[in-house]
Amino acid sequence: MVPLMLFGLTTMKLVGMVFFVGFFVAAGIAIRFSDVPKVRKGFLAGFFAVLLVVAVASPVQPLPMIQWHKFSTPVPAEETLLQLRVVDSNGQELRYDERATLTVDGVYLHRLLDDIVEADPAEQQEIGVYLLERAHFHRDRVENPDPTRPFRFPPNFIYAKWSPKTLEGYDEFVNLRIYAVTMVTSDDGRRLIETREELVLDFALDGPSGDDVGSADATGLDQWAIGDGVATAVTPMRPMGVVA
Amino acid sequence: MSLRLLRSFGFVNYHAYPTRWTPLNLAVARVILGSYLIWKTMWYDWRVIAATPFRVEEGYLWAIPPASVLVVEKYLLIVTLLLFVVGYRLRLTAFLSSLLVAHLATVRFSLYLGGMTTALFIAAYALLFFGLYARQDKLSVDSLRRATTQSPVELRDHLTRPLAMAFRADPLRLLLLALGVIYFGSGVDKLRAGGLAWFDSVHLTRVLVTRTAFYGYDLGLGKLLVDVPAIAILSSWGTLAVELGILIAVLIGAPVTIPMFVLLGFMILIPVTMGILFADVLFFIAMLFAWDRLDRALSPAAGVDLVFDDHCLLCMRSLHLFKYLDADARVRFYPQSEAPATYTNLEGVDFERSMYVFDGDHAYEGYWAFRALFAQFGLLRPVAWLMGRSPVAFVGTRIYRYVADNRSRHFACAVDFDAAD
Repeated sequence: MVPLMLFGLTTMKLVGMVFFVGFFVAAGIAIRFSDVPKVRKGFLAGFFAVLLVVAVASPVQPLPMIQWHKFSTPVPAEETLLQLRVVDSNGQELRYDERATLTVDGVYLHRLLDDIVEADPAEQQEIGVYLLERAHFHRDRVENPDPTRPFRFPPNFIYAKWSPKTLEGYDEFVNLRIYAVTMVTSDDGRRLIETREELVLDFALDGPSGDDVGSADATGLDQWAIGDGVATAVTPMRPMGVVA
Repeated sequence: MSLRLLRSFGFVNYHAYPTRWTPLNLAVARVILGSYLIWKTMWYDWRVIAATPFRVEEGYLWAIPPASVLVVEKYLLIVTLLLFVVGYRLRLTAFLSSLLVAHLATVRFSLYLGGMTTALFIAAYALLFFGLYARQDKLSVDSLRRATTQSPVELRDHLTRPLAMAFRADPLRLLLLALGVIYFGSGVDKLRAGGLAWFDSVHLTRVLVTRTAFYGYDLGLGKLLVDVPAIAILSSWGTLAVELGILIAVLIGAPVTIPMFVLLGFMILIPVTMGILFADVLFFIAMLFAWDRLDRALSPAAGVDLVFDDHCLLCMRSLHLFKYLDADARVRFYPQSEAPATYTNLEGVDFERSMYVFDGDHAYEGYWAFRALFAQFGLLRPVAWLMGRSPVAFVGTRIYRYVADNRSRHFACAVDFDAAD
């Protein structure tokens, strides 16, 4: 695609912006002149035509048009996913709580982890500092709950979140680690045959942790170090359980 | 639970039957939509979202303004949604709310692409539909504002004549259609991406097994699906049938109650098996519920007589919306000049002083007449209950008395019908 640069926007981004703005201009006109049936019907015909194409066949979502594709792609018998964990000063690991990333809900963590692995060192460092700071903040929030929490809108994910109980016994969080977790399931999909994991990246505010990490810069500060690439047995972690 | 009440539970295929005997469903759906959006968006911390040093979707970076603008938008949205909930200047508030919701959702989309963000866009569509058909919404402040332009004769006629029993609910027709299209796309994508895999139990059980292992939570009820492949197959087929079937049912005019209840069942089953809660969808489903049927089932069989001051504009306007609720004519509205003699001769009754509701041998005056009026409508009975409790009753009776005693001084009253005619 030929990049068309306008105020720093590429063609796709420009198209997205024009579509979004154009959609609401059209909607505003349709509502303003909604007493004229032709105007209203014209807008609605266009709306449903675009919605149908986006929902059924479009590879992209030109906002505000969306698609609702959930769990469509079959999970292969062997699947590898990236997992983020925090590590305390005693070396204990805990799966990172997605809710830590923002004040409400969270970010698309698996997509972020893919991006971190591909990012340059400066970006990795910035994101690492942010995620570790948010982990501290979230831990404090879990251990000293906000009284308004029960009244908040129900979260999308209700499993495997940090609770005061799961945080018991953990010292101060000092590291972040990204693992590639590979799960192998039986042909009928009913049993987990094997789980193995591989350290991909290790991050610490004072440089990489652990002697076994193949460090890119063992003396640097706030660095992500590249893992040793050796697959190991799964580190047993306490189940986090369900937190409403 | 009585059979009558149970049978009232259902959903409406508004595409086939866009006309109802009351505007109630449209008003309830408006309140649900606005309240849901206020509840959902009021907690977002836009300063944190704006300050996040990464984006997982960079296509909409242009949509991210400074944090202070997002904060202003958040509170502006709450204001426009509150006005939307009460039905004030619906075209404007629906459009502004839709634009703000969609913009904030776009910013949110840069960090989270899943259902809890995309549901906001569906809500934005629903807001636009309400804006496009604002005039259909009779139980609104806008309707009351239109009543202020009506003559005393028109106001009196509205109360005393039978209600036209044909109220279209096109915003709900369009919402149902949009949901049908979106779910249809979901079903088609499953068939395209998974093909035959969706027709056996492997796909679903593998999702459950790997998710529980990866996220480290207990399989819970999901164990039933893993252990009994027939249940997993049934769930897979059921998912496809509902996702593809809603749009088909809507378009051919078939009842949608069963598909909607199945969808509701999935919304309950998914959290207990996969740990994912699509709370937003519950609100969309609730918007399509047949609230008018439930209202009818919960309403008392016997009606009441209401005597109002037909020389008082304020009195007639205050009853204007109740008339729209009274599709089954449970309330017989009498101008005081035409009140039955049995009531005019009752000791202690003074029509010049208050509005009255007569329920058999019981006469309710003023504030308590309003409470008796609320009690006539099934969905408003909780309000009637609340009105009977202190301190609501304490405050309410005094407000009514003050307004009634000063209506000539502060409000338009004392209409001369000969002049008005």
